[in-house]
Amino acid sequence: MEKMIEIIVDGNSLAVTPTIIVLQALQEHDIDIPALCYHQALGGSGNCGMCMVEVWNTNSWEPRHACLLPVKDGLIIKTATPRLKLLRNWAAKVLLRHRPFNNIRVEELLAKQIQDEMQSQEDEWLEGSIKKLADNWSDGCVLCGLCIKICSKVGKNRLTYLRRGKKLCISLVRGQDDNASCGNCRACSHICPTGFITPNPQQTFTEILI
Amino acid sequence: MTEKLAAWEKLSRNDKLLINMLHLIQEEQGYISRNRLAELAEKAEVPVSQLQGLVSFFNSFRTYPAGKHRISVCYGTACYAKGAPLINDRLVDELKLKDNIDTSSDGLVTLEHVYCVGACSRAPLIVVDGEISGKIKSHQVPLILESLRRKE
Amino acid sequence: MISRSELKGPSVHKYQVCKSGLESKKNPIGLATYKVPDFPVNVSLESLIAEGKITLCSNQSRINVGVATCGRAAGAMDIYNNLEKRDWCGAVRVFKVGCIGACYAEPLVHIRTPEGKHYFYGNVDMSIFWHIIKTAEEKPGTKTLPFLWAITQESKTGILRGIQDMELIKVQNSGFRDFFQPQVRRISGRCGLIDPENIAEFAAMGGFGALEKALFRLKRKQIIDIIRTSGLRGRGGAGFPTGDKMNIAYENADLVRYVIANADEGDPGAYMDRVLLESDPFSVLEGMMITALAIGASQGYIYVRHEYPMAVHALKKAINCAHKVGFLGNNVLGSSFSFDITLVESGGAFICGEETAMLQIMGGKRGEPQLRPPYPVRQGFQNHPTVINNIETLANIPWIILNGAEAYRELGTPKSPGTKIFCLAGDIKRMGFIEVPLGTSTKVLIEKIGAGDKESIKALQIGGPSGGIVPYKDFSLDYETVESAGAIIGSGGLVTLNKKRCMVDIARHMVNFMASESCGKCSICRGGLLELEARLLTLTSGKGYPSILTEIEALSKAISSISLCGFGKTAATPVTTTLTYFRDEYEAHVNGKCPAVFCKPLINFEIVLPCRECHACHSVCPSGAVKRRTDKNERLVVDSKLCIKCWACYEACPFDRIRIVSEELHGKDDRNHS
Repeated sequence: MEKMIEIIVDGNSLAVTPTIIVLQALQEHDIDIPALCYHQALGGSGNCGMCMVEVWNTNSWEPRHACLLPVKDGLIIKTATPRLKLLRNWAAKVLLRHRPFNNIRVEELLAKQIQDEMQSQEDEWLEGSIKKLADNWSDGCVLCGLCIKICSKVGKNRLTYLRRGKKLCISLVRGQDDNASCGNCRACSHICPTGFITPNPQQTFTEILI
Repeated sequence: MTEKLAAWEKLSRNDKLLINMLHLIQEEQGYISRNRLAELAEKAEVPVSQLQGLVSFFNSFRTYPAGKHRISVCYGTACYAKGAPLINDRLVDELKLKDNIDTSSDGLVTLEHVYCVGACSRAPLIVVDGEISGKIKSHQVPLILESLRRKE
Repeated sequence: MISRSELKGPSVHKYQVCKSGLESKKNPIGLATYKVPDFPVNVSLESLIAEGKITLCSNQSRINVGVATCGRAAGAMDIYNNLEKRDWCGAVRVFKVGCIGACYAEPLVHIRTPEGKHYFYGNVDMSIFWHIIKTAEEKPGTKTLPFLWAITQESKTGILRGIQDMELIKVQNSGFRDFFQPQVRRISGRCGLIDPENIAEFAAMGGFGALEKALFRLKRKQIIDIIRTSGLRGRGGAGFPTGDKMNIAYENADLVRYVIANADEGDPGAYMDRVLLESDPFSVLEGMMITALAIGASQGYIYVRHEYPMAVHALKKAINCAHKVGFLGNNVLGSSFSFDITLVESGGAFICGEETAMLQIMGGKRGEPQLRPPYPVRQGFQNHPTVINNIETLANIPWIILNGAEAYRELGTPKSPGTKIFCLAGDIKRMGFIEVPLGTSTKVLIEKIGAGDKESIKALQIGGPSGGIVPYKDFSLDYETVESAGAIIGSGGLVTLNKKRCMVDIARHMVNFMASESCGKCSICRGGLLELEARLLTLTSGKGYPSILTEIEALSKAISSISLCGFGKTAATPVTTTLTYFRDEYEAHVNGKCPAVFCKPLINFEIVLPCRECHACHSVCPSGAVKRRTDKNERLVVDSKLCIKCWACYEACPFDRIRIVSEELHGKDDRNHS
C-alpha cells in the first residue's frame, strides 16, 4: 500500500495517493470539476480550460489547470471562487460557440457554467463575425485533440491538426494505395467528448488528405 | 530532387531536420506536393500525418501551386499603422480576389501577407517577387500590377 | 598551427582582382573581395587581421554602400551597381556593407579615404553621384562638399574597430549627428562599416579577439563567471540572466549539450536580429562559440526566420567561410575545442520564437509550446541540456569577455546593465536601429534620436504584439520601469503611434495577429482571442453595445489566466493596456465615433473649401465617389454612398483640402444591426 499524502481542498483535508494529479484526486473524492479534454489513459493537456482551480502559492492564489497539476503534500487549493467562476464562464462560452453538440450532456454541462447570458441580438452578430474570421469553422467539434492523441496511441496515427490559430482544424490523412484505410478501430469516436466523430470517422472529417 | 533527398539522408542524425528538407522541396516546385511529402515521410520514417501537420503549421509553405508572380504585403505593426490595409484592399480589388483565394483567376499574381520583413523605416512595404520596395501608396497598386502584366 | 604562407596556398589578397586599363573596360568584373580557399586551412588570427586591414584601412579610397534589407527597399542595389560598374582605374573600391542603423537615411553611402576620413552621404540618388565620385577620387583638401551629411576622422588613422573609433569633425546634416550622438555602439559598432561576408575584415575590426582569449587564457568556469558578474540579461524578452543559464547547463550531469541561437525574430517592428545578422554575422558566431566553449557544447544551431532571406544568405556564407579558415569545425584555432553550426530555417510562425515551440519544430513536430519545467536548459534539444540565446544576447558576449564584467556594468542601471538595441519605427522622422545604454529615457530616443514631434505622438508600442501600448511620456527604458507601465521591453521594438492612429483598431490588429499566430492548442487562446477580435471588430464597425467594454476586460483576463504558455498569457496585453490608458477612445467607439478618424465604417470624407479644383482626387478615386455637384454651387464633392474609404483622394490632394470626419451616433435606432 502506497503511503498517502494530504491535500487541502476548500478547507477540507483529503488523503490521496502521491502519484496522481489534482483532477484525479478531486474526482476520487467526488468533487465535481468540469473537464472536457481529460482522459485517464492520455493524461491532461490543459486544452479546454474548464478544470481551473486556485492554488496557494507562498503569498497569493494562482489559477492552475487541475489536469496538469501533480498532487503534493500540503497543497492548498480552492475549487469554487468568484474568479474561477468567471474563468469557467469564459472557457465555457468559447467552447459553446461550437454548438450544437451531438452529446447533449456536454452541452448542458457547459451551459451550467455560463453566468451571464448575452442579448441574443448582439450575440448573433458576434457569432457571425467569429465564424467569418475563422476560415473553416466546424460546428460540433471543440478541437480538443483527444482523437489525435488516441489515434497515435492505438490507431494508425492518421489524425493530425492542420494549420494553426484561427484556422486550426483536425484532419484525417489517408495512407496511399492499398494502405488507404484508417483501420476503423473507432477509438476516436469513443473518446470524442462532444460526440462529433461518428462511428465511421472517415466520413466525419471534412478535410481529408490523401 | 532525389539527389537532394539522398544527400539529406546522409546527414548525421542531429542535422537531419525535416524543416530544412521541406524548404528544399518548396524551392524546387514553388509548393510542396502530396507525392513529395509522402516520399519524404517514407525516407524520414515519420507518419505522413505528422508531416502534413508540420507543413500546414507554417505560413510560408504552400501545398498548392502559386501564381506566376508573388506579391507579399507586409502586415507588421509599423506597416499596418502606415496604411498596409489600404494597399491590401486595393490589391484584392484590382485582382478581383474572393474569400480564401489568394491567386488571381488568370494565374498571374498570388497575394500573400508577411508579418514584418524588418525594414520598418520604409513602411508600408511590399515584396514583389523577392524584390522589396518601400513607401508604397495604394494608388500605385494599379501601376505595379500593370508592370507585371507588361513583363508577360 | 600552420600559417597560410607556409602552406604555399595563394594568400587571400592575391585573389583580389584589381581592374584597370583595357581589360576592365571589356569585362567589368566585380572585385573579388575575400575569396575563401576551397581547401581547409588553419589561419592564425594575426594573419587574418593583417589581411583584413588591407581592404578595411587601405591606401585606396573605399566606398561602402549599405545594401541590407532596409537599403534594398530604398533602392540601394541600383546605387551599388552603378558605382561598381564605373571604371575607377584601380583607385577606388566599392563594397557592399550592411546597415549602419540610420535606416531613415537609406540609401546610405559612405567613403573612407586613405587618410582615415569618412564621408557620409544619406538619401543618395543619382543626382549626387558625381559628388560621391569626386569625394572618392580627389586628393585631400580639394574635396567638393555639397550634399554631404557628415565627415568623421578615425582617432588613430588605420585603427578602426567600430563606429566608436571615429570622431565627428564636420556636420552638415544636424539630424545625422543627433541620431548618433546619444548612442553607445558596443555590439553594433561594426555594422555598416565592414563587408559582412569578409571574415578577415571582421578580425581586423577586433573580431575573434574574445574567442582567442576565451580559448587560451580563460577556464570554462571563468567565462561563465564573467558573464554572470556582468549581469547580462537575455535580450529576447524575458530578461533571464544569461550567465545563470550557462551555469545550469555547465553543471548538468549530461555531457551532451547544445547551443541554439534564436533568430526567429517575429515581433513586428523589431529587426535588430536582422541587422546584426546581415551586417555583422561573425559576431553572432563568435558569441555562440564562446557560449559553446563555456558550457561544453560541440554542436550549435541557428534558428533563423525565413522572412529574412538576406540574413539567411549572410549566415550561410559566414558559416562556410569560418569553416574554411578553421574557425569552425574540429580544433578551432588549433585548440582542443571543436564546434559546428547548423542552420535551421523556420517557415514563418511567430510562436516558434518561443523556445519550447522551436524545439518541437526542430524535432519535426508541430510548433506547440510545451509545459515548462523542464526548461530547455536542463532538457532541451533531443532531451539534452540546451542553452537557447537570442542573437543580440550572443553578440554581447564577445564584448564582455574582451572588456570584462566591470566595464560592462559601467553603462545601464544596476538591475539592467549594459546597452540595448532598440528599433525605432512608426510616426517619427528618423527611424532606424539604435544602441543605447539601458535606462535611457524615452525622450532621448523618440525626440532626440528619432526626431518625433512631441505634440503629435500619442502612444508607444513597446516589445512587439505581446508587449503593450502605453501613452507617450518620459520614462526610463529598463526592464523594471517598462514592466511597471504594463508593457515589456521584449526584443526592443519601439513603434511610435501618432494622434491619427486609432487605438481600438491597432488593438484589433494586434489581436488578429495573435489569434492567427497562436498554435491553437488551448481553446481559450484560439477561441478566446477570436471572441476578443470579434468584439473589437464590433467596436470598429460601429456596432458597439453598452456592456462590451466589461466583456472585453473580463475576457482578456480569462485568456491570460487560462492559457498555458507565455504567448497566451501575454496575448491580450495590447488590449488591456489600451483599455487602461485610452478608455475614452473605446467609449467613443461604443457610441459610433472614431476620434482618430480611422475606422472605415465610422468615417466620411469631405472636400473643404477653398478647393482649387485640380481634380487630383477625382482622377485617383477608384469608385467614382468624387464628383461634380451641379445643383447648388458647382463644386467637387465626395458621395458618401459610393465612397469605399480607400484614402486615395486624401493621399493625392496636394493642398490638404480633404477632411475626414466621424460623428457620434445618437440613439440605438441609428444603428443597423445585420
